[in-house]
Amino acid sequence: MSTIGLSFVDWLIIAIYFAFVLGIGFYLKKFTKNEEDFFLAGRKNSAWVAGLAFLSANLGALELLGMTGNTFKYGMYVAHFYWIGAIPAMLFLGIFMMPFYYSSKIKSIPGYLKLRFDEKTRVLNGIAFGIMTLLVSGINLYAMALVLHTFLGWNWDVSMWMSAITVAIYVTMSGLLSAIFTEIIQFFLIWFGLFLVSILGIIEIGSVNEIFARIPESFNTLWSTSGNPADNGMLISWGGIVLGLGFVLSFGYWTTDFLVVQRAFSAKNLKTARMTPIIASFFKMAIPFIVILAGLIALILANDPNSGFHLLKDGNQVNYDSALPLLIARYYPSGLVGLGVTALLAGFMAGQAGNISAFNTVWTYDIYKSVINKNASDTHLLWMGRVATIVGVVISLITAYWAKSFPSIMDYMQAIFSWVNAPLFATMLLGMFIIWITPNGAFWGLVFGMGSSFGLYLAAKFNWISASLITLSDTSSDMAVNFWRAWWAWLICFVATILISLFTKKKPKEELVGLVKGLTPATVDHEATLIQKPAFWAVVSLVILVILNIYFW
Amino acid sequence: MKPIWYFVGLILFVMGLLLVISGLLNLSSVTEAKTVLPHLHADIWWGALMMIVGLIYIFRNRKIKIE
Repeated sequence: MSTIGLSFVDWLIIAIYFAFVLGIGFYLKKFTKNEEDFFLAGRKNSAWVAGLAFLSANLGALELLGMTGNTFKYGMYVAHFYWIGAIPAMLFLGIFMMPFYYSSKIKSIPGYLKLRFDEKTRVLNGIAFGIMTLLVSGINLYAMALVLHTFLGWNWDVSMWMSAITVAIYVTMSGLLSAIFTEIIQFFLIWFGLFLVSILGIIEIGSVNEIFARIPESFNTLWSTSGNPADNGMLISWGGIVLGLGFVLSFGYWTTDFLVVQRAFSAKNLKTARMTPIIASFFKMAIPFIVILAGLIALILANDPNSGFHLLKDGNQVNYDSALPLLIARYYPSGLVGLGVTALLAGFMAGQAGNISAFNTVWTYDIYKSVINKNASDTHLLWMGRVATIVGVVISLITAYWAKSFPSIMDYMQAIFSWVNAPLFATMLLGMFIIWITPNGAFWGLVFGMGSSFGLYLAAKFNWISASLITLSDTSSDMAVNFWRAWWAWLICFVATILISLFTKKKPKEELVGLVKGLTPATVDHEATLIQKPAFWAVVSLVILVILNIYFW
Repeated sequence: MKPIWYFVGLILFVMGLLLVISGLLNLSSVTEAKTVLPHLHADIWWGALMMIVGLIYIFRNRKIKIE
């Protein structure tokens, strides 16, 4: 393919973005005076700031490209990732889990595991999270260079080093504060840079109704074809969607992944922290109006021989990720192309900054202070956070070059999330809501859960067992296997934690006050009016979710 | 410090302004458009929308300072 050419004004817009984020880093440095400013943005953010950052930390360019491509491949079922696969978990975090997290004044998720269970559970999760975060960060960097090289013809090394150095500079200067600022700017750039693709696509095709009329039924519904996996584009049953995606993967990610939850910890008080994921849920529900619509528009254009639109091919393999960049090239004149490319760049770099800022916190508190230097002063920890940022970026670059020479590493990405997050959600759920779960039960449950998830991944990949054993169905896609594997890993961790807890030593109740339901005062917003209550907005969000699912049933 | 919304307003305004200028230059250009729907001049009205949203954010936050 010939690459998308950039004009002077496109380059100018991209240059302004780089100058802007670096300028913000310099501006915020003078407000980053202590370790709480650096690691938790001073715990003074409003619900809107924390909420948009919470959402944006997840809204990377990889996700935008991948989900648009997945919609081309699987149809409307991809909307499950944004609706049942996100909203219930975000609301559960805000209403039920945040009081335990925020009130215990922890600085990280492994920090909660230390208070609720013990040091070894904290270190195990800290190491697993650190490895996952740096791998994701490096592969994100590699994917960014791949996209920029394929579609814009940019040099690999320049793309990776430029963005890595920019992220290293502004995160080293002001930590989570600058990461949050750039994530919010990214949120606006993504909406202004990419939503226009959907608008222009609707104008070209005629109307939204025309879009739905021109795609097959197996691609244009959410639930009505989920009774039999063979009837829908994703080849999955409703059971896999509800248990694997809607429950385990979604709750595992949104309630325990420190990358997103760290943004809620930066809120100024408990009510604000509870509102953080609830505000984010409204915007999460709206993202399909960018990615799903764009994917369906690409599908219709590709099926229309008169449109002249077709996705790229790598040999015989269709490159589904090319859908969004090709739509940008189709609709955007010079200037707007620069804005679209900047939106993708902002997504990549904010994702990178999010991973690095989460890594530097977990490294500093849950590994360095916990194991290596228990008496470190606050000033020393601030210095260590900055060093960890630079080292994290360097390791990300090494991972990115590794991924470049060994591209199938991308396949292993799928395993990493269900390896760390799915079992951790079982541990958190049991730890927060059942008093008698023991430290050894939690530790060994996590070990079994993580081991089984990885084992199942290898077993399915190398055909040691049939995928139908995992999905309980003769027909399944890779996506269906992912959902079901997460469910089994969660279940194994859940059962193992309970069984081992029955036979091992419990923690004294007085050490669990504020950490477990039943030993923590209920969070009641007596002073607040109805529209100030997090629970009210959670119900509104849930009602919209139900309406969307019924409308697109 | 200035709230984040002020910076959001600044970047939206500057980028919107560039899009409008670029769109007006494209309007007067005689070269054949390489994209579909060129007659909509999306760069002009989309850039104008970004400028308006940017100005609203700048105006509302110009005097606000947070601790």
